[in-house]
Amino acid sequence: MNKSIAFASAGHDVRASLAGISGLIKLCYDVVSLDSDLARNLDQMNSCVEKLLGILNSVLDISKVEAGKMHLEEVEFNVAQAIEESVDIFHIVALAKGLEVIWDPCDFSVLLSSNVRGDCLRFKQILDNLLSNAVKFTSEGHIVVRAWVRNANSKYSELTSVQNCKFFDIFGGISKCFQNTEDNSQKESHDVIHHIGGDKEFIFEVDDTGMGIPTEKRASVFENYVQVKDSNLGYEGTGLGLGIVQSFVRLMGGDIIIQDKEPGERGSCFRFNIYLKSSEISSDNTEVEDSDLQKGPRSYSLHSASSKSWLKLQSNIQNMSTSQGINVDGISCLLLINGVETKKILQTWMGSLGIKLVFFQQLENLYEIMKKITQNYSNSSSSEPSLESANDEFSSHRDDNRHVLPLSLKDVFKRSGSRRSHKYLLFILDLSSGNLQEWISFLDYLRKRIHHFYQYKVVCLYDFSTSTFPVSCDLMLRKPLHGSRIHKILSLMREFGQKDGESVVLSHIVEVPRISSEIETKSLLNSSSHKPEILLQNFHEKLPLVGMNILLVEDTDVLRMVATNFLLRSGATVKSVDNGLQALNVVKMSLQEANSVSTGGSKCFPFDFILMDCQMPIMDGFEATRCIRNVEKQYGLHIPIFALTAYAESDEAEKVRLAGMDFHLIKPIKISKLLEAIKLVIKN
Amino acid sequence: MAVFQLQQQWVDLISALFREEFLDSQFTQLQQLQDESNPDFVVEVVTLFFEDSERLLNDLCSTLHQRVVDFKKADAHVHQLKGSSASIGAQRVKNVCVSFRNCCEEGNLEGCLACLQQVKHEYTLLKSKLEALFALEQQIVAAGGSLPTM
Repeated sequence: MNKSIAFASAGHDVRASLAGISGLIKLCYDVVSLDSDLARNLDQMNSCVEKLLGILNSVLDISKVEAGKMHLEEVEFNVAQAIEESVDIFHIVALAKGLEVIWDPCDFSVLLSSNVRGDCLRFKQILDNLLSNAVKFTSEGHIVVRAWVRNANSKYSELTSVQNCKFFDIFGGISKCFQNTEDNSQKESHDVIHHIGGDKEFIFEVDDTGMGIPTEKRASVFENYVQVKDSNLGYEGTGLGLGIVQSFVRLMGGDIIIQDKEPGERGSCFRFNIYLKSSEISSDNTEVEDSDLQKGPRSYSLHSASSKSWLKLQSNIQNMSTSQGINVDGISCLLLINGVETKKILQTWMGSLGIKLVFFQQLENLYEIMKKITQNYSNSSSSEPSLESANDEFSSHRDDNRHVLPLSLKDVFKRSGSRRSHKYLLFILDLSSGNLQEWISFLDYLRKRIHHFYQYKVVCLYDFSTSTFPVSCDLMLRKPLHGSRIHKILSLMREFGQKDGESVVLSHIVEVPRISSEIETKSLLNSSSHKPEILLQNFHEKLPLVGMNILLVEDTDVLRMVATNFLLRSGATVKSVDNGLQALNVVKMSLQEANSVSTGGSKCFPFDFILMDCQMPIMDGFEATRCIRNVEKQYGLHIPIFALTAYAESDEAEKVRLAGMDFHLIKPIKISKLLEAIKLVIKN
Repeated sequence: MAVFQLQQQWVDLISALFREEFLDSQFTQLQQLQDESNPDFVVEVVTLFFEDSERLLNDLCSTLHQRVVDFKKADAHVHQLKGSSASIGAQRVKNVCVSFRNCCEEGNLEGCLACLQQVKHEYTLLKSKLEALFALEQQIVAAGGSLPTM
């Protein structure tokens, strides 16, 4: 007992100091230029602080759990989104090691019942811990996160029988009511609430191809502070993680075990289940027949699942797609992507929708196929060429763990017996395989040639390592390709067949990456501590100044032209003059005109605000502002005036204020700063 | 020459301009303003910049060679040059202007003349590179290609 009090107060003090450091770092940011070495050092200091906080919280959590004082939060969150966020972050870290990290939605049940109430933070901590271990101990291959859902009152909801006892230990009070059902007889399982009133059981697997954990060490791995030290490479880590993970999982009503892998497969597979209350209107759809998903020696993967769950997968996906009105008839998909698991996942879900998939290894092959197709098309007008799918090939290779074999060219031109015409092509291209110019030429080629024969759409996959020049395509998705991004592809496919003969739309729909690519390790606490970097402006924000009338006063031609264009581009209407005197005259005249007609009531001014350069010939900005302020008094108005200066010095700010200007902006103007200034002025 | 190779050259040239700090992110902002409704925006602004700068450089030259040098006037010229170079992202030119202004404030004639030399040098370099870039762009468009959109 004393220990935990000591822990708590020491923890409190450490936390206070860390908060102090963090606050001081924030202050430093204000006086430092963002590109400098100093700023980068500050960034690193910040991440160290966050790491320390994370470790501190883990230690405190452990002591809380041990003392039986841990409470779970309950918030609404989206499981699929949470998984995606975690996997995305580790994807970046893993990319550096050449690993593929992806989330496999399996039978898509998670996507259908994703909105839940539970402890989001702890769930993410569990997942992050497992992922971080997986990445640390894997040097090649892949890490796959799998997830699926069952209704919680199914008979097979226990992972291990040990779970019951441990669970009741923690919740001594509640358990007294259920003492009589401590035997594991499954007949009575429906009387026992194995979970804290949760509706759904979520099962997760984190499967890697790394070092693996020898069988004899498996139990001890979950004890805190123990780390498997088999190799002599000395992996770092406090080992705190898995102990906490187990505690949290058990708190959430489930348990965690290490699955056996198939013989010959290396690496570890952690499987855990938790119970969460669903906030969705449940339907029978989400229940999966359990006989195959039993705790078995093998980890869940579709190729060993029975036909029942295969059907379940199909029906789930059909539900998702038909609910969105997608007609997948006649779509063929050509893919040039990396990643064994990614290919498998795409093959699974697209194949089950009935889409033909063809995988390519290199751009040259794509070119050749396209050329041949267009040749065939123009040669034979009666029958349309078809792309033989990998689907049939896949079914015979289902038990083969290797990735889908690329097709030989001959296969592609086999005329299939079906009458189905393949009118639509969907290209999914990974921009990191190949250089920018090659892609540009290929897309150009598509636009010029293929466009006449097929309706097609292009999806480009990028990550932080690809060049930041976006290419013109229908959809740009951040890697890894999972979860909500797959959804986006579904919606893109909906557009097929809606408008006939449409040429490729050149707009970019860029998904806003949720994290900046500079984060190396994620802070377990503050996922929002780093502002996300937005590659391109969101489409809706393209015209932030729409409807505004601006008077621009600037003497330098170049600056005037650039500023005018910026403002026009943002949707505003601009009048520009080139010195203070002209500005004053414009103001006087427009005030007179606008208010000569009004019959009392509010006086108005045709401009929303004035952008005033400070150094100008004839009459400078300060003088002009003073005069304008005098004039507007007659009308009882206050026109917002923003000063444009080239200086960042503090005495300039004073001059600006004395002259009566509302705010000052530094040249050259950045639209974001202008918007901030406008917001501030509106507030007052 | 094949469009592909021209495009490659364009990419190389512009990457070098950014890497060697002739241009900074402000130039990228300008490129973003260019589109089908405004297809020659960058060329127009840059041409305007060339005209402005050459005028200013001439004025500076004559101001600094008067018998009695009016440093305030010189400073005003440099201020303009600094502003316009900053607005198109001409980083190196702008940086020289910063030192140039300091010399003007101190009334340091030797320093001013040295800075004038330097700024002329940087300006000439930048001008020739940008002209090469625009020539490439014309070639690409004439050969039926397109530039990577920003």
